[in-house]
Amino acid sequence: MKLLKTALFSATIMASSFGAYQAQAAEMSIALNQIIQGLNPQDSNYNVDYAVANGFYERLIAFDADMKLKPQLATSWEGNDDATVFTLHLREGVKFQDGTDFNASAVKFNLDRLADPSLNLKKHSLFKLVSSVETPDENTVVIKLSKPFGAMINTLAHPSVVMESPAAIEKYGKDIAKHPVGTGPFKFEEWVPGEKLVVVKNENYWDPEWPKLDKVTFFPVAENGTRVSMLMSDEVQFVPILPAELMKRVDGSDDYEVLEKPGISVWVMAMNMMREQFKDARVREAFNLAIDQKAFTQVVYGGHAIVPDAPLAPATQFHETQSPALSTDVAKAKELMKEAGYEDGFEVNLWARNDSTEVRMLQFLKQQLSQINVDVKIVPLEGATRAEKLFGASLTPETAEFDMVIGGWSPSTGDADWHLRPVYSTEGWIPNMYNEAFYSNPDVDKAIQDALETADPEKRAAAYAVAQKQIWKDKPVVWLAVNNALAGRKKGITGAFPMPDGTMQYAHAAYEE
Amino acid sequence: MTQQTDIVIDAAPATGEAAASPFKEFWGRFSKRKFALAAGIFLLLMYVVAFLAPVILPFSADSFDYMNTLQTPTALHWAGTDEFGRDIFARLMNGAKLSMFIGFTSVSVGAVIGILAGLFAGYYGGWLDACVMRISDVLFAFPGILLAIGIVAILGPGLTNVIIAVAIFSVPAFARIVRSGTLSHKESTYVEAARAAGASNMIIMFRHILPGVLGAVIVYFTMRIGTSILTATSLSFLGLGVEPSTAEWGAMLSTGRDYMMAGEWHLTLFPGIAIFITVLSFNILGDGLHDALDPKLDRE
Amino acid sequence: MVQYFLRRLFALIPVLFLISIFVFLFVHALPGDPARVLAGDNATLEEVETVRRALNLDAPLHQQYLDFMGNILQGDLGTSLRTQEPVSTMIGRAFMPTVWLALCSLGWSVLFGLISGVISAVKRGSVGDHVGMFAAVSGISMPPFWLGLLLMQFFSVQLGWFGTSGFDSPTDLILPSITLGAGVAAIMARFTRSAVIEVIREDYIRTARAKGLTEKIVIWKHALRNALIPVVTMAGLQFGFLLGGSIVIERVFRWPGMGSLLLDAISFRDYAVVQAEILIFSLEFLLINLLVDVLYALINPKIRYS
Repeated sequence: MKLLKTALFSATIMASSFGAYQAQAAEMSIALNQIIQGLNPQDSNYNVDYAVANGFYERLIAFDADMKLKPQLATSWEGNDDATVFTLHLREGVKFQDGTDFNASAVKFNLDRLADPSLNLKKHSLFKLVSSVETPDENTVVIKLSKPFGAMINTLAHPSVVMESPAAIEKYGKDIAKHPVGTGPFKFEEWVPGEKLVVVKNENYWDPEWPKLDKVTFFPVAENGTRVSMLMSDEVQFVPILPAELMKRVDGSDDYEVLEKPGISVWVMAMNMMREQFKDARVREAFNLAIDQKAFTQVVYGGHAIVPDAPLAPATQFHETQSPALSTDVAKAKELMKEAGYEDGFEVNLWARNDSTEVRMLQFLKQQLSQINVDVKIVPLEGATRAEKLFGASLTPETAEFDMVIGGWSPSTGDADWHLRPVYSTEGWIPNMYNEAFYSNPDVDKAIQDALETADPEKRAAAYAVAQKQIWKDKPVVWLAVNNALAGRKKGITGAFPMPDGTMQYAHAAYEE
Repeated sequence: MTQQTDIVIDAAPATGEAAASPFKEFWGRFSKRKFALAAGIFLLLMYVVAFLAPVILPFSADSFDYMNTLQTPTALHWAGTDEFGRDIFARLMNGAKLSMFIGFTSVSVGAVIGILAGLFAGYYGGWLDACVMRISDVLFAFPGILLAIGIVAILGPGLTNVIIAVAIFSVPAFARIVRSGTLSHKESTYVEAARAAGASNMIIMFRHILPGVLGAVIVYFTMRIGTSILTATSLSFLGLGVEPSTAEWGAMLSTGRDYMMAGEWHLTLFPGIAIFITVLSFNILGDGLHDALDPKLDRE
Repeated sequence: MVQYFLRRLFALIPVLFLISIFVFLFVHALPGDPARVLAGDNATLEEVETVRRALNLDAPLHQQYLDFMGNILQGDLGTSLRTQEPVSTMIGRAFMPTVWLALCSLGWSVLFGLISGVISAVKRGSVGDHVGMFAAVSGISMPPFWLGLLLMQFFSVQLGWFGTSGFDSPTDLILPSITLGAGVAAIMARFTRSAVIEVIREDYIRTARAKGLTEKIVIWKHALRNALIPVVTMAGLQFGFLLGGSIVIERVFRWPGMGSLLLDAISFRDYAVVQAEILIFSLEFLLINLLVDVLYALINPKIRYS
């Protein structure tokens, strides 16, 4: 009897472990930190939407793991010197998952949609300047702009600029966001909003080598600890966004590994330059000197971040290291405050989101600034409230309620333009874009504009160098950190990794043989 | 988040004459309940220690030390240090004051409003009663934590707003307890007697009826403090609690929870235990008070 | 009886009406602009205005309320701003997981509460009584999210007995319902204890004892049966709380229920979903309350409501 039981027991074990092995060999699950908003990247501003779409949609031009441009559906491209006409040569023999041909007219269909303001697509703003899209032949697309735009190629690589099947769009209309049909290695299977998304192998993918997996499932899991627990118990095999404080847990295990990549998000504390105190360059410098960035990276990111050496992150195109480097000198900061007439400091508020990372930043900054007698009232805000108070349409520089605000900006195009223009140009003042300091310097504005009027990388680099230098000197913000992209992954998996811009790739995910 | 309901504790029915020395009688019964007594003493002691802590301890709740972050307990740091190198024990002591403050203030505010509403509704009846009871139905029908989330979302986070949120959702229960007590006391002989002697409505309500229902109120009050502390904790968990640099237990527990999953157990263990023991003590104390204040229980 | 029931049902109408106004104002008093949130973190002002036009959020407030009530009365809960799905579909999906969770939590906690309550009552003052009550009270003294995370750490990650989160198999119910039921178990245990103590003192129990029935029969048959009436009432009320009370626990265990849906909807200012959910929570609670009262009156004909 006992023998029989034992035999049964081991048979069950074998069966179940065999089953598990089978399942593992071809499937992967991923825990996301946010819920998926929709499956149409053209109509989304959320990194999580871009991240999942990387499997079923493809772009003309994409980024490699280090944010360098790489061909995807376009094999090569060129622009004219004025940055007004761009020509792309398309990959041949590609079909959408519904059988529709991918060709120049499909590209035109997509770009025309993006450029059409009446469709209200959220990423229309990227394509405002497109005046016409022409298709000289089956595999060539010519994009003409109404105004020079030197960052156009990088804009085409923006994760929202995916190619969707024209036939599917005709069929589903706005509901394309629930039934995505692209050219990617995976095709859409099922989406239960707030719960899970399932994609399965696209048997007819244009690259016969891929995909290696049969099925990928995504779960949105808001609670950090739960996400890591799911990884550690093999319910998911990949966690693309891993808070630094939880890294140790994954790192210490034999079966899981931490992936770390330099990021392109620059975290700053913007100082509202409408405030009398922050109009004074000495005060802004004192704040930069009072805050110990090295300690910041330790406390907030457990050391998995670097101290910024320019307004742009090193991995962003046209980044240029500035001097002098950021330094900490509380005595000098005090002196500057005294010169500015604020020896006894003043009281300011500091806003941020209420997530655990930003809350940690708040507490750190409050303590650091107390060293120069500045009394910081920290205000963690719930997402929607923050959005309204910081970016509400009725907001004007005069009515803004914040004195300082924490923000991290990562340019999804990997290019200097989509960092410097929204965050440091006068046209970028909130609520229009993301210049939260209300910083305005005509030289910076001009340099940013100059860089857009040419497609020549050298000229663009020179113009951005001017802009970065001036911003570094003016210090409208306190630069805090460039955090590394951290992810947790089961050992033995390749091809699934976090991207520097906060998205991820899983199209070439595979289990090692 | 589960609400305690008022059904557990009903106002003691009117017993007619008050005993010679009600307090002595109460104490006689209460002191027999060792657990409750111990819980009460523990709470008192903790409070005293919390006030003495700044004098005894070499650290304040806000002394940052970036060289010594995330230390496990040592002889110097009895409960270790947190992610900023702050002494967790010092923060716990500071948190004791804060959590007690949140608990007491919010429940007191809730109790005062609830008692007034219940007393007037029960005494005058009619449309006033109907109104108060409908409003309390509405509030009751809302899940408590949801109400709190909503209030904090509207008013913004912070100590005061957390107290308001927790207070509001205590109101209906107090109103109901007091109302039902008032209804039963209203018809009692001593109230009739007072009325016959020409006492005004106010005098009758506050002198004669209120003391009769106070027992039930005290019991509920005690237990409610525990619930309030837990609600404040849940709010912190959802990012809607007090300002996170404050050494409030819920905030400590909530900001430390990611570290807990990473194996830095001491960040959450101590605040967790502190909350647990405190809430437990309030509940045990409440149970003891309930038994001691309910004369029926000791008849045998 | 029928008349009593109808009268009570009728009395719900003004309460529901009040709740609808309350809910509507509550939702619109939340700071935050849905267009802004839906547009996304990195949206430009232009993109936000695009969303606002697409969502038609410009109507005056009273108009929005009338539309809202008009639709509700026709049984239409509206469309989610965020997913463009009918709200009824979303709630339909989230409803059962929450009901299951509430039922499971209630099931074990009532059972535990009854048994430990009766034992405590019978052995009043003994060590067992103290230990039982201590254990019960512990249940309501733990911050629920902490308890949930601890259980998950130990049973799912360390021991690997259960899935950490989500609702894919019936065993996934275990940890969340332990967490959620802990508080109810405590309330039930204390309540049963005092109900039984009260009953034991009644004359008919004394009579039963005097007749020479064994203590077991006296307690479990006579005393418990009579104590059961208020206990059932209490259990019903707790069920109402459980349905709406699992918000924090659903978040911890990634439970695909009403609580998670509500938190998501609040954070995206998805007005239609928040309104509908709160209305349903309140309605559930009121109906359960009513049902409990009616049952109470049925079981115990002595207490007829005038």
